[in-house]
Amino acid sequence: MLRTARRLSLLLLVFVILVVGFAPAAAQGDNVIHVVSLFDIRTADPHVAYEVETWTTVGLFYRGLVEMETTDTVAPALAESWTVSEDGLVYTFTLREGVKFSNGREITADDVKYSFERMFAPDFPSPTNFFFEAIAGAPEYRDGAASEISGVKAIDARTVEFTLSTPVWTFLQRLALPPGSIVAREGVEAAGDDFGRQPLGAGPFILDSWESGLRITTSRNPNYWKPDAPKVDGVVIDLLVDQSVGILRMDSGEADIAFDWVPSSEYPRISTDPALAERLITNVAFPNIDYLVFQHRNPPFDNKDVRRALSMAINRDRLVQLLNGRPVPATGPLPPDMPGNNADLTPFAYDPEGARAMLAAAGYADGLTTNILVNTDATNQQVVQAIVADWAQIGVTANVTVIDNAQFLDILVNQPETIEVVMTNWYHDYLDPSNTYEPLLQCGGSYNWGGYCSEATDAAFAEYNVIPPGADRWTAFAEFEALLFEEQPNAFLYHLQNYYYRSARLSIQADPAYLLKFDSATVQ
Amino acid sequence: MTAYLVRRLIGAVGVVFGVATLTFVMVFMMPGDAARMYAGPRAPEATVQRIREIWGLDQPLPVQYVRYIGRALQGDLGNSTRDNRPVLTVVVERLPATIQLALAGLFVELIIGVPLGILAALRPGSWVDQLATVISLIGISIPSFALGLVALYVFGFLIPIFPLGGYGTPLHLVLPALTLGIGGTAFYARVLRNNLLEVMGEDFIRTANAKGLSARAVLLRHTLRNALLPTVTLAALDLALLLGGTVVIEAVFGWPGVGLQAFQAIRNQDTPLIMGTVLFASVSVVGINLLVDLLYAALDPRVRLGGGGRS
Repeated sequence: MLRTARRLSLLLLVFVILVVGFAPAAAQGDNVIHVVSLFDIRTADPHVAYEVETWTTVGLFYRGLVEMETTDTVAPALAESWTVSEDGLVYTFTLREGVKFSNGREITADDVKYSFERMFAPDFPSPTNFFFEAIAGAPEYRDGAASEISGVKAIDARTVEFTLSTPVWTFLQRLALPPGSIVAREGVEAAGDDFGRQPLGAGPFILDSWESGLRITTSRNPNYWKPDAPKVDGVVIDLLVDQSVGILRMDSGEADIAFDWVPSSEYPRISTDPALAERLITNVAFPNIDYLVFQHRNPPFDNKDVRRALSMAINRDRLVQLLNGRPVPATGPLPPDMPGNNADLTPFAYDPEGARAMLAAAGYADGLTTNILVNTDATNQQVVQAIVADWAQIGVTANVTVIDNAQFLDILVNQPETIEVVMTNWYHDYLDPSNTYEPLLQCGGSYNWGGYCSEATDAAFAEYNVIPPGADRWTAFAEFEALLFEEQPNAFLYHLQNYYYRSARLSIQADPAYLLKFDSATVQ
Repeated sequence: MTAYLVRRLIGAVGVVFGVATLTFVMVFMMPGDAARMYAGPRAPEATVQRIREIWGLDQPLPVQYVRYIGRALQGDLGNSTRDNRPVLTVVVERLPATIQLALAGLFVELIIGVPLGILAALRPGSWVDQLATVISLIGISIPSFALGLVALYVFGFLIPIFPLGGYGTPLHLVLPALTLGIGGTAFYARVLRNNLLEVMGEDFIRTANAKGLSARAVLLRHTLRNALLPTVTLAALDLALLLGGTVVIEAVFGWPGVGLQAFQAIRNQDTPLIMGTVLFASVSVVGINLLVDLLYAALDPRVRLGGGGRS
């Protein structure tokens, strides 16, 4: 018996030594930002990335000619200045003197031309090159009809000129996005297929190691062009961390921030505790609109009154409640912070009686039957169920089809004529009304699944879109949103506000393009 | 024995080949468009079409299949469409974590399940048996994600003994292995209990008891030895399944195993990676089955003769 007791104590001792020896490293004390990510980040290639976590990662390693200063103003980055021709077609940039890639080589105008030609390379075109399709000669280069992009010219080592085929007033904002990053040719050539995990750019950090599915370790770029930045020694990203576990890590001081926004389930607990609520950071990138797409190609949704009646029958306040108070009810497609948003509009008041009468007047006194297509996202399904109940009140029977995201995308892109109603959302890439209208509602728009096509609204948009950014443009677009509200091409539901949650020791700001400003962040 | 080995090996290769073919056809028939998934909804059709051509997705199924098998035989499983890295590299780098968790999980299952099964069988109907049954039921009933999250909260946050998920040190392995193992414990306990009770009723046990052997000797030398055989077979099959991945446990603990990888590959329609992970899982199952069969054949000549023996 005594021997057993001794053995047990020995085992306990070994256990304690193991525990002490391998105790998890706390974040406190070092000058490194510890990040957690739900996803196994797939790439840091700025010409491939197009997700929240990959754009944030690109921001660690790359910069473009310009960067976003606020949600709608652009500041110099690798370029110190630029001029825009009066017709809005020619942009001339002067590179910052002595600006270098992280390997110490000076960046020249040739690097800028190389980066844009890489993006349109015929042998592997970038999926995000659509931001720059207006560059003269870019589509021809992608299709193999030209040997270079004629619209990007290296005038001298520090001067690069972009010529557009049509004026695009958001060109600077587009250049500030991660796909506008400048990459080092020698890095691309040396890494080959693995360039996504061997980044070489001019961002605030350099890669130390990338352990797939486990951890990405970075340290300060000694050649970063911004004076006194970054403030921290590095950023370490732990991958595949469950969102709830990530929050536990932040509360225990093991992590400083998550690449993922606070999940709906955790939001009430955090937002109602003042000590925790002050650690919420409002996300400013990708402002969104959640909405129902209507099929405009045939009845009944080609009828404006039917669309308005169905939109009026949705209890948006209840949807806001369902989502723990995070969204703002929508009037039109433009998020509240978007310049050009019409603040005078108010969402449809929930009015089932009025909706029923309007539906009857449109010829559907007996109601109608339709189908709502939704992907497997739990929030979307919850919202759709609430809408089905609302519509039942006015005699509309909505069946729901839930499908996996891959199939969902396939139907929207390849068989849009088969849909009736679709629950979906749109995350804006930059804050300009054109980023809403062109893809979602313009005739033939790349995200216009319902096939809404109105010559009148297209003409109005074309007229307003040539006005340069400024008060005149925003006033014009506010009027335009009122027109869209009247048309109700889709049932605009709400704008979901997303938040980051940080540790008590981290100080960091949100960024409109790279999502988080790691180069100015500090830890205590 | 050599002829048996050759016969079984050919069979095993045939099964893997069959699984590869079936998976290829199923993936091809899956609704969705891998090139569009990669490029996203906003990429122009010209870009997506170019990507389809580069990946060979514009070719008919038989052409794609022959090309795939041809390359696979040379060890080239293609590149993941999601991150453009070779599938073989992507799968192999997840192996250490997968094998660690599978072995540790199995160890927990056996180290708890076997004693529990023995205790229950020694005193059938007693409070020990009842308790073992209750523990077994709890183990089976609690979903592993809930158990995992609670374990992390209690032993990672409230009493911070273990890390809050992740991979790398022996300590990282403890909670995932326990969570994985506790669910399976119940299974082994129940199976072993029933087998033990069955063996205890056999004539040779009565003989052993009659010879005046101690209860401990009868249990260890005669009863357990005979009752453990099915458990060993189960453990081998279990290991093969665990090697195929444990998606939920991997997701909760941030464990970089092949299960989570396969799940994500399916969600992203990453065809080459789906094929790669399925091939790995089928090779594991077939390989371990083959090993078990060979072991049996070595132990029992009736097996390799292809007969069932006289009853």
